[in-house]
Amino acid sequence: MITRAAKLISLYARVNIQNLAAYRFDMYMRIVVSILHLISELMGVWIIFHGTRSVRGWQWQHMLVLVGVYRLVAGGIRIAIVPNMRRLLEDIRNGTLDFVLLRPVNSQFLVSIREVVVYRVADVLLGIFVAGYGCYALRGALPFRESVEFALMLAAGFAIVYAVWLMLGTLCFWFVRVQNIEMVFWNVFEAGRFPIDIYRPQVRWLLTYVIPLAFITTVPAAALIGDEAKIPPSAPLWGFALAGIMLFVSNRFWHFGLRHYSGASA
Amino acid sequence: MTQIQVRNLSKVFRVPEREGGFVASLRSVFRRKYRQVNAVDDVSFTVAQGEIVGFLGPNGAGKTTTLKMMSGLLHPTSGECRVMGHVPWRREAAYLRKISMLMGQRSQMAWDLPPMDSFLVHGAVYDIPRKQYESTLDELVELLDLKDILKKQVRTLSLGERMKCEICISLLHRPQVLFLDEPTIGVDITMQARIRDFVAGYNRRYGATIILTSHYMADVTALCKRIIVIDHGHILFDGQLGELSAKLAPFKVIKIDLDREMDGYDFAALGDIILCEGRKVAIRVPKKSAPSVTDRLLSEVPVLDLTIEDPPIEDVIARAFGQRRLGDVTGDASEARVPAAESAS
Repeated sequence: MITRAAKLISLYARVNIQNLAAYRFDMYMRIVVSILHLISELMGVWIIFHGTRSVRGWQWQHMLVLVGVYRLVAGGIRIAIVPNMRRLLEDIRNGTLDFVLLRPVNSQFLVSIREVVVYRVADVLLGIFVAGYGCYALRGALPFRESVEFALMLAAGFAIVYAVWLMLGTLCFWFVRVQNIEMVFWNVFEAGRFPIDIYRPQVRWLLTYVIPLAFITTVPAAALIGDEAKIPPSAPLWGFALAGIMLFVSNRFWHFGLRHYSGASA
Repeated sequence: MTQIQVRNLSKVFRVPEREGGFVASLRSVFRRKYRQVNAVDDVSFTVAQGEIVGFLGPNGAGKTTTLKMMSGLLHPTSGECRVMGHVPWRREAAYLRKISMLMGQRSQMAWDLPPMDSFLVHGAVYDIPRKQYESTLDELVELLDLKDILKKQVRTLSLGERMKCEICISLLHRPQVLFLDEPTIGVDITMQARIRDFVAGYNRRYGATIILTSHYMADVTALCKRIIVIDHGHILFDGQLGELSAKLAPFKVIKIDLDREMDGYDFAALGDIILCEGRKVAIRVPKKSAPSVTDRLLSEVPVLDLTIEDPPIEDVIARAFGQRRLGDVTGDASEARVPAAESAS
């Protein structure tokens, strides 16, 4: 079963790469925009640390790690999560979700793998480079244990984002037009560019437990930095528990939503 | 052997509605009104293996909704349905592998890629063994004459070519039950005929059960011995095609283009005028009198072009039934509504 899933994922990725060939100019432009975004984010760090050495315990090296993680996560979200959910919204609105539901494959799995924007890997690579450089500037090496912990926290972060998006996408079964949700998501996600510690306690609480943004950028970045002062020791456990719960809830919500699918002009 | 069993199937949609105008529009933002629409209302029938059944009815009659419930796309509000022993809306993989649904108005092909790529993805999604995939594809490419278009981008294909690709992809996994929703919509007459031939051939070769909805009378007459007429979610008629045509469509539509306007000519004396605008005239006449009316027209008015057509199915049904059940029209409901179980056996 896992082999079949892997086969389907690679097949759809291949089809998407073939599609990409038809829109090369668009691809180049988007890579340039990604680089410009990264430069503006690094400029932000430079401006902040031009006159100070530390912001709430975060030095410029720490901030480089966070900016790198932010770019990496944003890239990861843009590779598969957002494109697939965008297509899901279109499919629900146009009634073309019919073709997904007619396939003998788990519908949630299929709606989550059909779109892969391969060139967004550039964001991921840029993010890894900047985060890796920040880490190296801090310690002179990339610590193995922290890197593994970071990878695990990153996976939990992606799972949380995926679950949030699946639930937002599922809302489309009732509200049909929820395209603006993407704009809201990115505006909220922007807050993840800064460490969660710099916000006031109420906002910090909100961004940890209500909109679990902390687990998406700050917690993985802190895991890579390896500074326990930046995250409580229980944070990774919370992150995993939250990811598990959200994946379960989003899966149930998806199946509930499917019952309300009415297609278009049915 | 019964392959599809539908019992008391109903589907109610909750549709938002509001009056026209700015104030009503503002009001609907805060207090939205909904209306219940009984898209399918207490429908029951059975279909035997290998049967081709035509679903007829005007737009919004409930044909597609019934088809979608049978294929598992929609959950019914109430009632039961079993297709090859499966409850469709559970959408078990074993069930979905055995069916296919072709929607004439929607495409399942990847728009920017050649058809071959979509076929490959389909083969992988249905986990079709390599040998079977290749042999079925070869057969379909041959029968549908697809060889020359396999490498073209789908977006560059004509509607007819695209429809052939849609048929090909729908049949790659050799479904035992085929739901065809308007398979010939928009394609030219030659292509319509080819598609019909192909569907009939598929039914013969594999003994597949086919449920077809179409607005074209020719699709139905060429393919279906049995038809089910639906209107306002109710089954109005379920029986042999011959019975329905005799009852409902004993007339033809004669369309003419005139060389000059004929203001003084009494077209109404020939039949029911459907259209009379400038040089274009369309008249509905009884089937038997179509040749004599044609003769008269050709000899009495300056005709540039003349066609004789079957009336559109929607007209036939609307004209014959109006808002009433077939029983009301024929005078005996129990006789007119042929129980599906009997006609299928």
